[in-house]
Amino acid sequence: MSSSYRTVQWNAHKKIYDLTIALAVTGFIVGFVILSRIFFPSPEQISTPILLIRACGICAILMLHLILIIGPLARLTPLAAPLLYNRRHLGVSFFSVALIHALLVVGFYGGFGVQNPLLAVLDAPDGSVPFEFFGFLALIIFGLMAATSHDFWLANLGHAWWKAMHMMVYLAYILVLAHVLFGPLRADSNVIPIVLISIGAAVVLSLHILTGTREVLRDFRDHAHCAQENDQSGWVDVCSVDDIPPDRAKIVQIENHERVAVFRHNDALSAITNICAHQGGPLGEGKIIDGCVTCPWHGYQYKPECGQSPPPYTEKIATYDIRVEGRRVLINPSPNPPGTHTEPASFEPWPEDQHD
Amino acid sequence: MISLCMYACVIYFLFGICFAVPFCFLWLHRIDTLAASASIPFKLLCVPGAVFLWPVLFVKVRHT
Repeated sequence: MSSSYRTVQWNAHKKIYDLTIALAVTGFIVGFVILSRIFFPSPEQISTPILLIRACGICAILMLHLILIIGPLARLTPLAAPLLYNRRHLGVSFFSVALIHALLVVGFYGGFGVQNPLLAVLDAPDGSVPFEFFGFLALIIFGLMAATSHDFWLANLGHAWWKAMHMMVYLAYILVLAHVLFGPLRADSNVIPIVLISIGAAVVLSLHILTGTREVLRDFRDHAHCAQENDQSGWVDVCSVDDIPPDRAKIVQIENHERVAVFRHNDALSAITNICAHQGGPLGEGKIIDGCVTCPWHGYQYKPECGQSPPPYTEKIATYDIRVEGRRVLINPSPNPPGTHTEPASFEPWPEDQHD
Repeated sequence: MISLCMYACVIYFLFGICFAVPFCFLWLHRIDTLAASASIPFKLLCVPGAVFLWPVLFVKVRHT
């Protein structure tokens, strides 16, 4: 959260995460080279630079697939939330591996002639598909994303622009698929790599479709429910208090298509927007830690009753007026300005909900 | 065509480097007051982003 900028926002969890990434990447590349030496001994031995090019390329593609499926996976299971928490570090690590792959290619395939090495690699022979150029374009996009991954850029470009820029990862992914399919796999008679990359693309696509469909269906159901339960004063009946687990939230969509997170904490309910002020993360999929709503994406925190980050942080989100009638929860669909205090709605817990 | 694109990229990034270094070390606070007391490693970290986005930042700095 922002009271000043830090170069890298490391904490104990993120250090373990980053160390794991570094060990996994190094282990993969070293393992790839050693296994290749064992399974392809002389005379068909492949030279070390080519092995490193292949190892970095395959490692980068695996990391890219992991990055792309973390988001939808975290929507399907909270077990994936720790991966999501530090996805930006994984993204920067991925770019570093992809860049090493590119530098090795330029140095090895273009570095020994009289022509500019980069131009020598990018210039495809007449009639062939310029697969190196696809990779070059993808690398530029990944570079832009890695270079602007710090919160400084998010704050100064604005959430909408920053998000739009980082959605270009899907264009870059298509370019990577073209780079691989028209390049190394084109001349390869072995179908296994093509099958593997197809499976990877199918997993990425199907997870996105699955989670997207779930969200649309949930919004449609909530919207229909709210339309039926809208009372004359304009307040909307969104759910029962028993639908909300302690220190968790229920996400509801109200008539203006806004998603609202109704949190339950200390036998009282508070309603805030579901959109985190940081990167638009789904606050309702987080939980209350130390009395604050904690975003599942990067751990930004807000007090549930006023939508303000605890001092010295300054982020604010919109709140909604809320009341409980019987066991039903009603909210006023008009959002309050960010940071507005609203009185939490108390209710009587069932005896089995009471803690010792 | 490809060489044209490559040379365009090279020129763009050269302009970017020329702008990014003074921007990150002299003008960063002009677009974000939180960056006024930022450390040198943080400013170095901002250089690649400024190289990519120098036209946007140039406009922002001029309007401050």
